[in-house]
This record gives sequence, C-alpha cells and structure tokens, in this order.
Amino acid sequence: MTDMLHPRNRTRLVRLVLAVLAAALPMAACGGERTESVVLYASLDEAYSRPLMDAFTAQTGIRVDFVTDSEATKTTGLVSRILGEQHRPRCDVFWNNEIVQTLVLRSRGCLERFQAEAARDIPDAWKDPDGYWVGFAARARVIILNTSLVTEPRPAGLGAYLEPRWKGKATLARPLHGTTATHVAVLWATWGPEKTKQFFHDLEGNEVRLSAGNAHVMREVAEGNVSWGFTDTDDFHVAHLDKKPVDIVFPDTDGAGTLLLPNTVCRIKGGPNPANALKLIEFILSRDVEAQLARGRSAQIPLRPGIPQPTGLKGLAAMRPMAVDWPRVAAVFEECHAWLRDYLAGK
Amino acid sequence: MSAVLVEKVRLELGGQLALSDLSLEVAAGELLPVLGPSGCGKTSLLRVIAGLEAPQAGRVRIGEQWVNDPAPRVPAHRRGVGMVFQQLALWPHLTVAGNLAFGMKARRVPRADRRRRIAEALALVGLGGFEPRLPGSLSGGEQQRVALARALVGRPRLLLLDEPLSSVDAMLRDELLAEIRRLNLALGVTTLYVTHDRHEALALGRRIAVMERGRIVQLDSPERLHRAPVSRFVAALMGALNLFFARPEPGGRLVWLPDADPYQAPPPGAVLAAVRATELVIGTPEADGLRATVEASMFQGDTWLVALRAGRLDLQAAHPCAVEPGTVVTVAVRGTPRILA
Amino acid sequence: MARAYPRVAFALFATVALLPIAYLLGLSFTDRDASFTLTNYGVYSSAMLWRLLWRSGLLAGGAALLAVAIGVPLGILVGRTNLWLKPLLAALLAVPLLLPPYMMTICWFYLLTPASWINQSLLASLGIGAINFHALDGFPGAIFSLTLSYYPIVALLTWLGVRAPDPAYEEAGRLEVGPWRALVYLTLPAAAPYILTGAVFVFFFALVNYAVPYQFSIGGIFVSEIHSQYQAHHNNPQAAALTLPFLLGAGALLWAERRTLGRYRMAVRRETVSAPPQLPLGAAQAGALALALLATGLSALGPLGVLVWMAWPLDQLGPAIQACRPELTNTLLLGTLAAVVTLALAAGVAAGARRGGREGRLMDFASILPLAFPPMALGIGLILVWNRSGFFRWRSEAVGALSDVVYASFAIMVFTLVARSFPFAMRPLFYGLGALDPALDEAARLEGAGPARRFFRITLPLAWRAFALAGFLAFLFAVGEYDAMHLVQQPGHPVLAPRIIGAFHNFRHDLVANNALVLLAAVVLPILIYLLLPRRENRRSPT
Repeated sequence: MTDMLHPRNRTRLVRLVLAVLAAALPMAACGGERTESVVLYASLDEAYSRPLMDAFTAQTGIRVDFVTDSEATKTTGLVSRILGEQHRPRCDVFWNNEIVQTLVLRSRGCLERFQAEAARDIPDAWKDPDGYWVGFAARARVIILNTSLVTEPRPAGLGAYLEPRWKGKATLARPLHGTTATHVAVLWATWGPEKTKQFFHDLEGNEVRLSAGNAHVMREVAEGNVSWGFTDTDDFHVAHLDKKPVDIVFPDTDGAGTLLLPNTVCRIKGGPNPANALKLIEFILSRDVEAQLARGRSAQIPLRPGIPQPTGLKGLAAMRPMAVDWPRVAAVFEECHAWLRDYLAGK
Repeated sequence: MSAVLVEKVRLELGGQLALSDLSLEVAAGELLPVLGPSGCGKTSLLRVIAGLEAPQAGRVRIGEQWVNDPAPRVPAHRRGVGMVFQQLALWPHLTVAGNLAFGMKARRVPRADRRRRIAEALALVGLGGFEPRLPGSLSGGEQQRVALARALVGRPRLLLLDEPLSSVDAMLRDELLAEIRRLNLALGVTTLYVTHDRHEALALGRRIAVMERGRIVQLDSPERLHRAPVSRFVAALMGALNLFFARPEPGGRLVWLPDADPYQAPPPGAVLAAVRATELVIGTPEADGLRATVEASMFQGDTWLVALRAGRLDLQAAHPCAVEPGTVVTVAVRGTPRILA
Repeated sequence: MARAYPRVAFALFATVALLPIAYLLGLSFTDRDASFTLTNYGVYSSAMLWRLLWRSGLLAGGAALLAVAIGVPLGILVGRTNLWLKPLLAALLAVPLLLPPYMMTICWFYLLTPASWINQSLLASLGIGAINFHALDGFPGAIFSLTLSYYPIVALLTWLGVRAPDPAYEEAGRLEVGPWRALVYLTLPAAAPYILTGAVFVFFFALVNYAVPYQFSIGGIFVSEIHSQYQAHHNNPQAAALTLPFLLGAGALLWAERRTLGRYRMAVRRETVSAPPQLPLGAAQAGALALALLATGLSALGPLGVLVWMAWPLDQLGPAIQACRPELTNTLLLGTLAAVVTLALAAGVAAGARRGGREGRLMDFASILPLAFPPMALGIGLILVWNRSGFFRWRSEAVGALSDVVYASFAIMVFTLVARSFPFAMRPLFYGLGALDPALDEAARLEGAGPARRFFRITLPLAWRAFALAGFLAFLFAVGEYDAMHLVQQPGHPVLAPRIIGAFHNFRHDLVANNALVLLAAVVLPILIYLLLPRRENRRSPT
C-alpha cells in the first residue's frame, strides 16, 4: 500500500487508469454488432417500455432504438419532435399513450397507413377506419383520493372540483400536455367552448391547484398535500403498489361515463425502416403485450375481450366508458389548446 | 529602561527556524537598523514584536509591558506599535484618510480629533490635502509616505519599518531616508528599521544590528562594524569584499597567502583578513606587494573597480582609471587589514 | 499555440453553441410562416412580462440571497478559522456540486416524506409539526433545493476571497483592531468581488434551471414558459422571443465578473510570506461547528445518506449497474467526449480571448453567453438548427446531409453538452493561461519550438491544474445534464438523468437511488485520479 502511494508509482497508476479509460471508450462507442433496427418514439414510461422492447428484440433480432417522453411533456414532446422532423423523419413507429395527438399527427400528414394482423380482434371502435392508427390497452381518467383526507361523500366527478368543501384542496395537472390535455379537448367537444371556459374560470375561483403532470397529481395526493385530483389509472396504480393511503374513484359512472384513453400505435410516413416498423407494430398490438400491460405496474385496461383485467383497480367492473367522438375531439383540439395556452400563460 | 527588550526568542515557521534564541535591546527613542540578507529572519523579528507571530520560546517587552511570555499576552492591536510593511499594504478600497482613520475609528477617537490628527500626520510626511485620494492613484513615493503617516498617526510607542524603501528608486530613496531620520528626531519614536541594504543602515543608525540565520551576530556602531566585523559574514555584508588568508609576521606585518582558498579551511598558523576595495592599492609590477593580473575594469561613477586575479584569490580594487585586462600589477593594502575570527 | 488555432476553435464553438442561440434570436423575429414580425415580442408589453420577471427573479434572487447567507459564513469558517473538522467540512462542501440539482430535490423529497425519520422522529421529538417537502410546494421548496445545490459556489469563492489578499493588508489592520474586525473591515471588502461573483453565478444558475422548478410544478417563470411554448404549443418563435432576457443577462454576468475580479487586482496576493493566519474561534467553536455541520448536513450528509439508505442493501448496486448499463455507458462516453472536445475548444478560445483586442473581447463575451442561456432553450435551438425543419430547411442537399449526420446521431448530444459545458471550462483556462508569463512561451519560440511543442512542453505542464479543473467541470456538467438532454436525447442512446427522473415519478425508489449512486461514482472517479496524482510542494523560507 505504501509502495502504491509513492509518487512514482502513483503516476504509473494514474497512467494505467487513464490508458484503460482511453482504451475502453472507443470500444464502448463501437460496442455491439451491426443489427437491423427500428426507431420507436414511445410516450409510455421507459420502465414499462424497455422490457417489452427487449422481448421484441429477443424474438426478432431487430434492435429497437427508442426514446420516451419526460413526465412534464408526455406525448406532446414527442409529437413536437415528430413534427419538427417531418422533413426528414427519424422515427418509424410512434406509440402514443393517448389518442388525440395521434389524430393531430394524422391531420398534419405525418402518418402512413398500415394493416396489422394482430389488430383483428380489437373492436372497431378503437381502430381508425382509414387505417392510420390502432388503439389498444386503455387507461382511464380517474379520481385519486387520499383516504385520510377525504370523507364521504367522495368526489364523484369533474363537478366536485367546483364544490366549496374542496376549495384549495384539489389538484389538476396543467392541461397542456398528455392525457389531461386530451381530457379537456373531450370536454370542449362535448360541452362546447363556453361551458369549458366557464369551468376553468370556476376552477380558478375554487382555488384548484395546477400540478406539472399526472404523476405530480398522484404524488401530491399520496403525500397528503391535497385531498384528491384527476389522474390516470397507471399513476394511481403505482401509488397503490407503493402502499400510499390512496383510493380510486371511476368518475361519472351514472353520468357521462369515465373517459377511457387507449394507447395508439401509428407508423410515421417516410420513416427509415418501414419493414421493421410493421413488425414492431404487429408485436405492440399482440394480445400478449396487452396482457402484459394489464398485469404490469401501469395496470392498463385491455380493450379486447378475453384478456384478464388488472386487479388493482377497485370498481373497474362497474365502470361505464364515456362515448367519445374522437375525430371531433381532434378537430377542436387546436382551438381548445390555443385557448388554454393563453388562459394558462404565466399561471 | 530600554524601550524594547527581546529575550531569547525562538520562532519556527513551517518547520524552519526563523529566529534562534534571539536577544535584542533597543533604547528609548533610538532608530535601530536591523541589517541582514533576505531569509535571515529580520521580518520575523518585527512580526514577533508586533504580535503577528507567536514565538515558541522567549519573551518580549515593549516599554514596561511584557507582551509575550512566550505566549502572546497582549494582542497586536493593543501593543501601541506602528508598522510600515514591505509591500506597504495600503488598503486599496479606502481613501488616504480612510487608511489613516481606520485604527482611530476602532478606538473611538472623536471625528474632529481624527481629522486633525490625520491632517497633522499627512503634513508631517508632506502630503497635506491628500485625504480623499485612493492609494491606487498615488505615485510610489507618495504611497511610501502615506504608509509612514498611517503608522505614525496612532502615536505609537514603537515604529517598525520592514524594508519600506525596497521598491523605491535610488533618488527617492535618499530623500525618504532623510525624512525617516528627521521624523525620528522630531518625534522621538523608538524605531526598528529592517533592511538588507547597508547604505540604508549606515545612513540611519548610530548602532546597527546585523542578523544572520535567525540571530543577531553583531550589534555595534557603523564604524565598529566596518573596522572590526566579528565574522566573514559581517565583513562581507559591510562591503569588505576582499578576503584572503595571511600569516602574521613578527612586527605586526601580514604576509599574503594567495594559494590558500579563503573559502576553505585556513592553513596552519594563518588568519583570515578582509579589506575593502578602497583599501587596496594597485601599483606597478615592480612595486612592493602581491602580483596580480587584471581581468576587467568597471566604471563606478567616480572611480573604477578593477577585478584582479592573484593565485587562487579574486580581488577587487578601487582605482582612478581603467586598466587593460591582462596587465600584470601589484596590489598592496593601505592601512591595516581587519582580522576576522 | 498556433496563431490560427484560437480562430478555428472559436469557429467550431460558434457552430456548436452560438449558432443555436443566434438562430433562436432570428426566429423570434418571424411568424410561423417565416415572415418578419415583431408580434412575438408583444409578450413583453403585457402584464405577463412583469409576472415572469417577478416570479423568475424571486426564485433566482431568493436562491442567490440564501446562498450568500449560508455560503459566506461557511467560507470564512472553513477558510480562515481554527474550526474543528475543517478537512471534512471542505469535502462535504464539494458534494452538492457533484449532485445535479434535480437529484438534490429528489433526495429532499425522500428526506421529508411524511413517513421519513426526520418527520416521524426528529421533528416530532422537537415538538415541531411534520414538514412535507411538497407542502413547501412551489417557491419555498424550489428555492430551498436550489440554495442547497448552489451555496457551495458562494462558500468556495468566499474561501478563495478571504485567502486571496496579501495577508499584510489584514496584518496592518491587526495592529489597530482585533483580528475579527480586521477580517470583516479589511479582508471581506477585498473578498467582496468573489462573493458577488458567486451570488451572480448562483442567480443565473437558478434562473436557467428547468428541472427543479418543474419538479415543484412551478409555472409562470421564463424557463417553464419557453418549454410550454415549444413543447405544448409548438410555437417556436414565441419560445425564442422569451430567451431575449437571458442574452441581456449574459452581458450583465460578464460585466460583474470582469469588473469585480479585475478591479481589485491589486489586492490579490502574488507572493506570500505565509498562509493567512487562522483566527481563533475560542468559545464560539462548538456553536460554529454545529452551524457548519447543519449546513453541510442539509446539503451533503442528508442527501448522500438517504441515497445510500434507499439503495440499501448495496449488493443490489451490481445488478442495478447491469440494468442501466446502456445509460451508464452512454453517459460516461458522452461526458468524456464532451469534456475532451470542450477542453480542446476552450483552450483555443481562452488563448484567443487572452490576446485581447476587439477579437479577443468578442471571444471572451461570446464564451460566457451559454452560461446565462437556459440549457433547455439551448437544446431547443440545437434541435431547430440541425433537424432540417429550421436552419437547414432551405439549404442544399449536401449541407442537409451534414445536418442529418449531426441530428440523427450521438453528435447532437455531444454538441449540446459541449455548448453547455463550455463556459465552465473556459473560465479556469482563461484565468489559468492569464497567470502564465507570456515570456515563457516567447522564450520557447526563440528556441525554435513549434506551437504543439510549446503547448505540450511549456503551457500544459505549467497550467495543468487549470486544464484538469476545466476538463473535470466539463465532464461534471455533461454527465449530470438533464434540462437539454431530455429534449435532444436520441433513439438508442439513452442517458442516466432522464431515466432517474422517470424512475422517481414511477416510485421506483430503488432505481433512483442505485442510479444516482452510480452517477455520483462516475463523477467522483476523476477526483480520485486527481488526488492520486503526485504533487510538488513549494516551501517558502522565512524572511
């Protein structure tokens, strides 16, 4: 040991370490053989998507290069990326964890039609009649509540945000990204602009807090900073698995119904690996993947009959899905978004 | 009673001995130059007296107060010491007045008194009206005077000057030396003046303390240091450049031993002699004396310094004119050479 | 260094870092159809501007003020007193600089969950109600996090500042007043530029940080607004117009740095008699130590402790490294590449800036620009320049192909990191090269040594510490980078930072802790190498 600390030996040691690093870096850079690949943009969290992609690679030998989106910009970040790359697409397949942004991409001419064998048993309601996208494995917009803060009667729907007893005690994710943006666009399409705008003014009046994203909503409820908020089933399930004092309410079961947001998969026009893109789409739409998503931490709700429902979502059986005119939602999305952008600017 | 008494002070800095059992006594009102080469510990001596360093052994008395014993009993700011630092250390963010007022403010001297004393101190060093100036805007000489005024404005009982003129050009130096001497006489402040320049020391002190390796090796009048240096070191420091071994003959005469290296051990029965360049006389080859060969001549302003080689000796002699290199001459000592221990 | 090299280096730096900024500036004067317009600047005439200025200023100013309040006393304690445990405290001070700010936030989320030891035992026993980090929702939490991340900058600069002046200044004062008073009235004013520079740096670091305010769901600040305009509204010109204040800020930053560090040049010590004296704390020793331990406990011991605790048992670290191997490899590779490229460019630009003149001043100013520019916005600029929808849209096919090579590869990630790290590498090199006597290089030139030889035989050996520091800082910022990286991350090249934040949101605490420890180990490695390097001691003799 003392020998090692002799200045001369230390110099040698340092040189050795540097040499090893220098040798290791190029190896790391060129590591891995050249394989076939496909580029996936996935707004599913990396923790969920990676095992699936590893399975695809194991099955087909095709490497999946993928990026996932950050929590704050769920979906919209990747969509802005695809739009930005429209002149020279980099992406083959877009796995969106909601649907409206897929419709936006379609309207901007970024998508390519495809036919997938695996999608045959998916109900038509979840498939684009023109063949630009297919929906699968949905999440529901639900209420997550803190069991030690919320007493009966529990909040049962969006209307609860405006009740005086929840003044300053409820939260909503900033509706500029992700499923919350879609949720508001659905309201815009269903209620019309005036009622939606009034709803937001009333939210402000009842001091509803805005969180950065749905995961933030879940965390704030789980930690007891607010009593409840709308989030997605996957976020609720994560808190549930972590044994947080939370419970779930499927909202508006006796009214408009619960909003179900399917994952959608689509093929990017002009993507660099079209053949592999189709293989990847087939894989993503397989029953196996939908079953895995149902079993996994994200507890996604299968849209196909015959696949076991996730177990951690109490009240799922009694849930009544909301009927949504998706093309109409897509048509009003920009208008709704523009208003929200101005309304929320600086808030 | 002496104004300053330093008794057997030992100071180690970073594992090196800076002061080695040093003792020194300074009379009240005395201006004592401390002369020594760089690294001999003279600045350390000032710092111990000022209270900026704590010696490991020995004690220091200022006036009637024992300030170190050896642990510092009196902190620096209560010792009544004014100091001019080698780099002056004028606070660059304060005006001249601010520099002078700093200590008085801490001692709560009333504002009117402060102003008056600052004006007096600046007048004393010939810088009346310089109060609002920043140190950065002053010339080198003005900065020296401000530093001096700052050291004096607190009316110290002891003034410490740490090579204050080391970065001043020759013309200004003579002027400032006269100033320091005048101030010492006028104010009667006991002053220690550290320098490595013998001209400064000679110009200032009635006594001079010579330091070598952390101790004072000779404390004497300039004449005694000149005529009777206690060691080769003191002799060299006082400018006695020519060293040689000689054998005393009966009758007091000295015989040169040019083949003995003066920096080696003396041959049996020989003594080490030292003479200044002005005490060596160059004569014709036929004259009586040591034969030497001229190597070079250097003009010194009013005289020439001639470098000579004789046996193993390198000598320098003052001469009224240049001598051609290679010329063979004789050299002789005018008067009696100093015999070193 | 060859005459032309600074220009070449500057051109490359400009391509990597200045082009995106310039492109955004140009874009801000266009509408979505690329026609000239000033409407994007309409935002500055609205009440929103004041709101953005007030909220951003509150966040950054709050962090800067708190950082000064904690950093200055700590810097003085460690730098100039006989405080116990100083080496330990100095080491702990460096820890927050190794943790990216978003990690500091995550650690404190864990430290202050309702069920945490601090809340359940410590605060309860003190009779204080539980603190929930999310209850510090928004500003207090974000300011707290940013302060803990950045106060060591102020502390370290204070440490330098109170040791930098010639000790004679303080000693001259000690003949008049007590040692503490001399320190406060004489040395602190001389150290003020260092402290001010530290505060200005913290202000800008907090101002441009995106990840931390995002973690606290803070909207209505410049960075969140730029992000929203770009990602949610796809309104790039509007996002670009919102970056203008940062460009103006860069000027202020440079002015502050130069004016303060330049003005007191006289007070900076050149040769010293001895190290500045250590002031005795006396009876205050225990109190001072408690305060220092509290500060470093909050910023270092606590966060490190909670990471280790969450990752416990550490035998899971091996599998965790295996599981994040692609991210880890990419992060290290990218960090190293970015550090090497940054060092090579920064050395050239620093040398060019040192030459002075109009060109030197331009290089000097341009090099500090990316420091005041939000990394997130820099990422947006890089994407828009290189992805062919913006800058290269109308360029020829050959030029377009070049842009594809950059955009669709590792290169854009390296570009991002180089642009981000450049100012941090440039500063030490600028001052390091400035400390070298130009005569040393000229002497070698007279001996006939070529540029390369002079650089490797004269400049590098003499200024190697500046180079080592510059390289390390570039590496450090590269491996921890999230703000821009989450935007430019390329398919198939995952990196650690987004993975850690993602795992945090998914309650994968084990993953967060393991990956964070791995990241920390990656940045500690170069420090260990540095500590193992032999060093020469310069002893000075007493005078």
